[in-house]
Amino acid sequence: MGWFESRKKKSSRIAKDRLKLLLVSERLDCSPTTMIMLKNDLIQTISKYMTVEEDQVTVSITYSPSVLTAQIPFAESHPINYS
Amino acid sequence: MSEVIVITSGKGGVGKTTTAANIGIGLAKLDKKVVLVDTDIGLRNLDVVIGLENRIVYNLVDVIEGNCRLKQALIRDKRYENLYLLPSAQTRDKTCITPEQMKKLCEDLEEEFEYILLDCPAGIEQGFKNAVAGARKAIVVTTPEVSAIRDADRIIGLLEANDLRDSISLIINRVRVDMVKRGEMMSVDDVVDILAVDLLGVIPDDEQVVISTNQGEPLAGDGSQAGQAFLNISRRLTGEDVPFLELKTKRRGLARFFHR
Repeated sequence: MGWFESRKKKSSRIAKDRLKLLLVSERLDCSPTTMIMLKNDLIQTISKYMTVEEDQVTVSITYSPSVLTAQIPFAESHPINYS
Repeated sequence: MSEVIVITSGKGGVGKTTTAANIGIGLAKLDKKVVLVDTDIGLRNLDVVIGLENRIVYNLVDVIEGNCRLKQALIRDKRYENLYLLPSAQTRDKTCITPEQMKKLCEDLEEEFEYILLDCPAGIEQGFKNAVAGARKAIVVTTPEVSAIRDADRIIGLLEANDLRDSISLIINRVRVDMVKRGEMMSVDDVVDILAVDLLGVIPDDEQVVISTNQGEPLAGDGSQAGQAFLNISRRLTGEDVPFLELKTKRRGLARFFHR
């Protein structure tokens, strides 16, 4: 299984992903560590008011135009019962 | 109205000098009067790439310091009579000229030439600042590698800060179509997507480039794929609408397939 997974992600894809992360942090002078801190602060702030699915929060920055996008899913208070 | 174009990359070894030489020869073949200026003081190379290393008497620093007249330092290429080289100094360093002096030199060259191509040194220090000072257009050369693209991005940022924002275009050098197809090299689209500047040309990785550099005879416009790609870039610079070589590179992929 691990073999299949490593085959799936080609090195060009890895290069592109690494570059995107690197260039965003370099262009905006915002390091990956800063991004993680920002993400944690966002989770903390919102958690004061609502319950957040912490491990599913994604924060990304795109450029031209430069926009910070955060996707913060809330924990379902009444999960649907399928059974 | 002449064009003053700086060819730059940030990272060394991506093919700036080869690109400058080939675009210059391409433009000369299109009957444009061209001067190639080597701005890499202390590490000149453009002279050997175009095979004029034995004809240097005066250099760029001599002109700037007034040791000779501009015309005395210009070397005319005997093969392409519209092509001239202004070589760099080998025994000096980049601190001996200033951006203002380069600007003045470019203005003087504009009176004589239609295209002034400035081959920029690697790096972002004084040499880069000198080279971009007189330029009105910039060509950024990169290869589809993480390090080269990162440096290209940095250079694009610096060019934008130098008021060249709307005149930056990109050349992607040493593209290996077979590797792109296997997903082991970033594609042209990937690179353009990341750097977000206009694409001027794509040069396939072609052993003919090494051979031609060995011989001191740039290959723009010969039968090779890279030669064709370089000539196409020169034509685009003159305003001609030339489609990208995509079909041909695809055929190369197919040809490789059939050769197995």
